[in-house]
Amino acid sequence: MSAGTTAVADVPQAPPRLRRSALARFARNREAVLGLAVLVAVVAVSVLAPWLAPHDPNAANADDVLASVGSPGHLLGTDEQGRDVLSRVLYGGRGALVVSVVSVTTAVVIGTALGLFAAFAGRRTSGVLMRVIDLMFAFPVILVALSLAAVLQLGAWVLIGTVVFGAVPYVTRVVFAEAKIEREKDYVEAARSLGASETAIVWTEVLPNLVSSVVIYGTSLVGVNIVFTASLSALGLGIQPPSPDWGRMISEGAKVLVTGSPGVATFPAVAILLVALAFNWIGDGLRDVLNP
Amino acid sequence: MARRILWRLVYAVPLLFVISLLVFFISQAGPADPVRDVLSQKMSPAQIEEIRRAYGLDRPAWEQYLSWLKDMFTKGGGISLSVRSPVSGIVFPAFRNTLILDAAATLLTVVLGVAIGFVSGIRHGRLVDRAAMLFVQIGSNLPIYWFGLIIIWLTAVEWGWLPAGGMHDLRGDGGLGDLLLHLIAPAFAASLVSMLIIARFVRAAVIESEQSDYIRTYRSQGFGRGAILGKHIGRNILPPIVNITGLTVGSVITGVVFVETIFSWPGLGSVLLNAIAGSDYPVIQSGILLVAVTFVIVNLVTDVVLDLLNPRLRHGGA
Repeated sequence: MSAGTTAVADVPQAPPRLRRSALARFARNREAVLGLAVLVAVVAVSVLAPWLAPHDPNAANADDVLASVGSPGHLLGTDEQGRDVLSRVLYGGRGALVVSVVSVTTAVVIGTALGLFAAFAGRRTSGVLMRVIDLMFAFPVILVALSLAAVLQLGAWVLIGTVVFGAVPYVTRVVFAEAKIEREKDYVEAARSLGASETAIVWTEVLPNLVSSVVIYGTSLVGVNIVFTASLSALGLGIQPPSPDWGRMISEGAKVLVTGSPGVATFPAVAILLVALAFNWIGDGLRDVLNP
Repeated sequence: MARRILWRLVYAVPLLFVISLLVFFISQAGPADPVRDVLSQKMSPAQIEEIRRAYGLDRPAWEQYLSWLKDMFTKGGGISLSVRSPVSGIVFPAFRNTLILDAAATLLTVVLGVAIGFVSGIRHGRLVDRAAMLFVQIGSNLPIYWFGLIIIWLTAVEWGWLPAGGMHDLRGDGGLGDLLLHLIAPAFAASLVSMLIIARFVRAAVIESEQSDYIRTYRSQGFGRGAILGKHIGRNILPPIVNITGLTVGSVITGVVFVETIFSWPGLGSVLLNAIAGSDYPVIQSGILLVAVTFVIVNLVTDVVLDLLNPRLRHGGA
């Protein structure tokens, strides 16, 4: 439970100071601040890409193929079709960011519901459910991606389905473990003795205490899955051309990586690395603030 | 003990059933009508109906499921829609190649993961530890595809140490040494993510047991560092290592599929990607089923090994 929210609820005078201390804890964590800065920058760039990009990301130019980094008009060079790499990098995070955030959020909601249910269900039900979750946890997610690719139209939905399947067991386990601990605590017993129903206990007593863990965990999961969806897109299962996409750019740049144009594949890879690290750092920072 | 292992086997049955059911539904739920997709549009509806009957596509779903399952075991998964040859002839050789890469990647995952984790664990807070943790943080956030490309570029193009891809040298003797040489780079690339998961885990386990009371007692009694590390810390973190290795097998398989295309490894991942591009459902289904069943078996073996490592069970427990 964050210090800030408790204070808001109970002690009207205290919040500014307490909240400042939570903020200060986050600000003291250099990596967290850096991560937040990177994330804000990347989101801003993705949103503003149409105004920032010097060229149309899909405009091919046969006369200007594989321009080197720093050549006039093309700061990061061009790819083998003569498209401006900088413009493509600016646009390329849009799909990945939206897909990862949407699917991790979905997974967090499903996983929290399942974890709470398992923690409060009978021993047998929760045993079966958690056994299934354990299996999903270790399952080769690529099989889900391949199956979805065979069933659905290739594109964002394959990525979303795969990430949700992959992330749900992580969230469920965390929520289950924490909810089991919370369930035994005195305040739950107190609520129960005051006549609160099980549903009310889950929603109004236990859930608020789990939110911080879930948020921390979800943040890190977004980072992991940006990298993962990029690999799926690189294989051709994810975001489809002509949309510029970081993952796709890596596999398109593969052909020219060894022939003297490593930038075409490397700039998007660096972008992915930066965004993923940013989410990890923010997750760690949030852990300092919310679960000191 | 034996009863426990037997129960584990029994539990695998419903799991396999559910997996087979899901895999079967891939062809049912697919967007493409397998018959219309493959055959040219020149055929009359009557002819298409005829073929539909020949493939058994007109029967109810559960009947199709049963005969599909039977075909899996007896006819080697049916006939590929795009190549017109038995699926088993396409899938099994590729699966064998994938298993080789999987085994090599798992080996690297465990050996390097434990080594990195152990070293940085016992040098907790020192320079080696910080360097290793930086490597872990960056490595686990790298897109595998790009990492594989860089490995090819460095090892094959820049340094010329390793072959750039494939499984055997075309002019070579096709012997084991040749295979191993071709294995190193793709196995390393495929194992990266899982290796770093294990490294992080082992590091935490080593740090935890180094700070525990019984280790401090041993140390105060003057036991050598090597003896403590090997006999006590090592033995205590063995079961969790087996456990986490079992858990990372899935991610190793995922890594291998990512890597196969980059290193032109003639494995099941490449076959499946081609099959998806061509809506070749029999190949897709057999391939996915094969990998899923392998996963279930590995999972089962891990559980049994964990049981065997558990002294409470080994010495006449439940």
